[in-house]
Amino acid sequence: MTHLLEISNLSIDINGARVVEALSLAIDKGECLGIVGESGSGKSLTALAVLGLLPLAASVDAASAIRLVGTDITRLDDAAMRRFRGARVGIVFQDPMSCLNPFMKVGAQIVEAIRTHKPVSGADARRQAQNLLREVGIRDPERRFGAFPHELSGGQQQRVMIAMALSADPALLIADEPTTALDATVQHQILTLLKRLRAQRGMALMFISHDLGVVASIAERVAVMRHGRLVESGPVHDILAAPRHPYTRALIAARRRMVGGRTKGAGQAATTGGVVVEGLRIVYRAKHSLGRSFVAVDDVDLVIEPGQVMGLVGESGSGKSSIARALAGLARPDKGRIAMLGQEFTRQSWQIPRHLRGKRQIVFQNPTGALNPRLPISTQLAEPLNAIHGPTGQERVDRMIQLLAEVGLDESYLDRYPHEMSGGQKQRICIARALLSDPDVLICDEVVSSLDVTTQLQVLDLLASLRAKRGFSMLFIGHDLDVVAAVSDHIAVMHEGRIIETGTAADIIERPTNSYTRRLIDAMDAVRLPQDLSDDFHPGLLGHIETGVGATSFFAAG
Amino acid sequence: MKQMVALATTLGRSALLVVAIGILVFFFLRIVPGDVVDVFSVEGDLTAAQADMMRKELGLDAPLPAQFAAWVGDLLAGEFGTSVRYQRPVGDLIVGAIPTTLVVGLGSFVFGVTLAITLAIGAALWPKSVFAVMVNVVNVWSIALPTFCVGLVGIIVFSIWLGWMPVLGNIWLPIIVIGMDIAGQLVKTLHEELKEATSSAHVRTARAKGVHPIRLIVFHLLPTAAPLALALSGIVLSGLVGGTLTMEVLFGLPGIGSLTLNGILGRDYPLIQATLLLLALAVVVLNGLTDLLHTLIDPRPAQ
Repeated sequence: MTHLLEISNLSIDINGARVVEALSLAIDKGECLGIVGESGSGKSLTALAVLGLLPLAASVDAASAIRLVGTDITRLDDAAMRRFRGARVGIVFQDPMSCLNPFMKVGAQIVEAIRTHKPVSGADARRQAQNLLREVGIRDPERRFGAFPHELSGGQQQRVMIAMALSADPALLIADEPTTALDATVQHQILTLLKRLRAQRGMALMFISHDLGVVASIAERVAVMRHGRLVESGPVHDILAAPRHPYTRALIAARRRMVGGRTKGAGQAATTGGVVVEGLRIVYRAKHSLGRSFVAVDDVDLVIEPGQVMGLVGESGSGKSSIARALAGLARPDKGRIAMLGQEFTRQSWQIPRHLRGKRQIVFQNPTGALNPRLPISTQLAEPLNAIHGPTGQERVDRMIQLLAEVGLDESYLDRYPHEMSGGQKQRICIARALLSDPDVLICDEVVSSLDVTTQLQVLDLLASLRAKRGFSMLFIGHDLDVVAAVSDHIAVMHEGRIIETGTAADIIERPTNSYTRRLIDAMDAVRLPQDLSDDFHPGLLGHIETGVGATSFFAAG
Repeated sequence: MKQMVALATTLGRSALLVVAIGILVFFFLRIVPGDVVDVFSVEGDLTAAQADMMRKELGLDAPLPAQFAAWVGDLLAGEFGTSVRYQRPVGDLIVGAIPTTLVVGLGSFVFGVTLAITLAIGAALWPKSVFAVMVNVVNVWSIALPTFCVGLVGIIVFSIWLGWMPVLGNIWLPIIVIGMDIAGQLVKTLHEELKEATSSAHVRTARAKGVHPIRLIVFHLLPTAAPLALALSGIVLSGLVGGTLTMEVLFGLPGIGSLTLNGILGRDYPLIQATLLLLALAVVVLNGLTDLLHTLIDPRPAQ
């Protein structure tokens, strides 16, 4: 029996560098294959190759073959390939907002997909599009049909993308990180939808993700990719129960260790690091008099004990970053007060005086964006020292080298530029930069969200050990409850600008009282790896991985 | 409702701008030494007494505020006054000159924008084709070669050597010369924008649907570049309002440009004031229109 999709010996080069190497995979009719790998593993390029949509700079090696229902599509020209795209294979990408044409109503975009492959009238196509919208769970499809993408929520946008991919009844749906840009509860809904659609339509699914938990929740077989090669593949259950390759083992261990069982370095010797937030309200006023102002944070109380870590969890737009900005002196409170560093900050006096600025520092989500690409690391590390009139000359260099050592990097990094480093290394630099001025309060805003799973774990470990050593208190913001729980003493859950539940990390995870918190936890549980398998994690594996990350930094940026 | 208020705000601001420009034009003209009577004096050997009498007749001896008030009063009554040089109502002169400027201006604009968009799309879709070369040629052309220079060479080659077209009153050559200049100003930026658009996520989605290349260009690529093209067009058009001047003079075309230049040379206050105010009005209206069109093209709320 022939496979629905058979990739054999696929090699892809980008500008002469091999990014996918001799990859062989097969998907049968109605089957779901999960592909797991970190950024730069070549999983997305493989998906694009199946559609013949590789970037111009990429070339497929002549020995490769991608057989779709028997036809080798690597030999087809663009016109012939167009009859396959959308018709035989549909694809759903990450980040639906940028994948939908912002100038076109969503209905028109689906109708376009239908009429590209089916000879139907406009009215028929319209009816079919509305049926598709209903099928993917969009309420009131007649009205949504005429909406522009920006008028829909992220979850609805992804549903529209799915409806579009299904419009010509493809035998294979490729989903490339379809839930990565979405909030946890929405991710859960989209996964449920994909499972249902697959069952109803008997369609094969290639599900690509960096998150082993997500893949395990939907796929029957899983293929693990790393540096463009297939590391291991087999039934999901076998891979989870008995991973053969050390990388797979590290991936599973990293994912599982994130969930509980971690040592949280307790802070010591901290006296001044406490933060008290009372009745905080932050309003973003519209640029001109006609726009509506937006209440980002309303009536928030928060207490961070000296040397403790307060975790702040919530979905995008819930107001967590606004709180971080207010604590950093970047956003003006509209009401309420923030007491920290022995001072009080209110609407009247919200800016942090210069001499105190070094005492609170912030680390952001995207380390690539947070570092100036044109300055060497030494110059960037010097900046906080300049700001606080810190040590100069040899003493300054010594201090920088000492901090680099603390974050696990050596002094050779002083002369490097950001593009010469991996994402994890860049985030370490950002942490070192924040700690150079010896802060009492450290604000971490989604600091591991843009990192690979194994790197996430390393950065979290680093933060825990630094806190144990230095005793600063920390506001740790994240959308991933597992990650936040792994580092925090207390957790506050935010929803629509308000804190709806606070408690110790264990209480929130095990005994949530608020219904929203419970939904959040259910969504996380759905993609959690089974815990009954033996945890044979040992630290040596992570060192092994770190060396590999540097080689893929070219892709890590993307 | 919100859009109506925004529209009213824009209109109010534009009106204020035109009034301010009117005031500046009026008083700046008076700062420049020499008036129309001085020009006549030099040309026709007027005696001091004759000159004084002429000033009195034209009201140029009155204090500036009074002159200004008289001008504003005329304007409000729909009167632009009478040109001293041409001895004809300024309104008639302008109405007579507008068609020429409109043909040259719009003609070169349409030619330039069409050329720029064609080249930019071609170069974005086929980066190694002749289109990509032409993008650079046209761009460097407009930077390196001033229009009057190209215009002169054009006259020498096409009118004098080849004898294909008359020197004076020729309308095709100026349209092509200005059009090339406009294309050069637009093409590079448009090309960059389209290049980015070809690799953007939503264009990739459209390709993944199997959409035909022509549909891809018209419905997915072009709209992405439209806001930028529009913004650039606004700037180009505003520049064009005064930019046809050199070509009109060079080719002896009786447009607004030549009229303004003659007015300035002859210190013909009513004429200069009217044409400059008209140009200002045109620029303000064009800017307003491009803003309005932008909100129509791009459904997303402004940032």
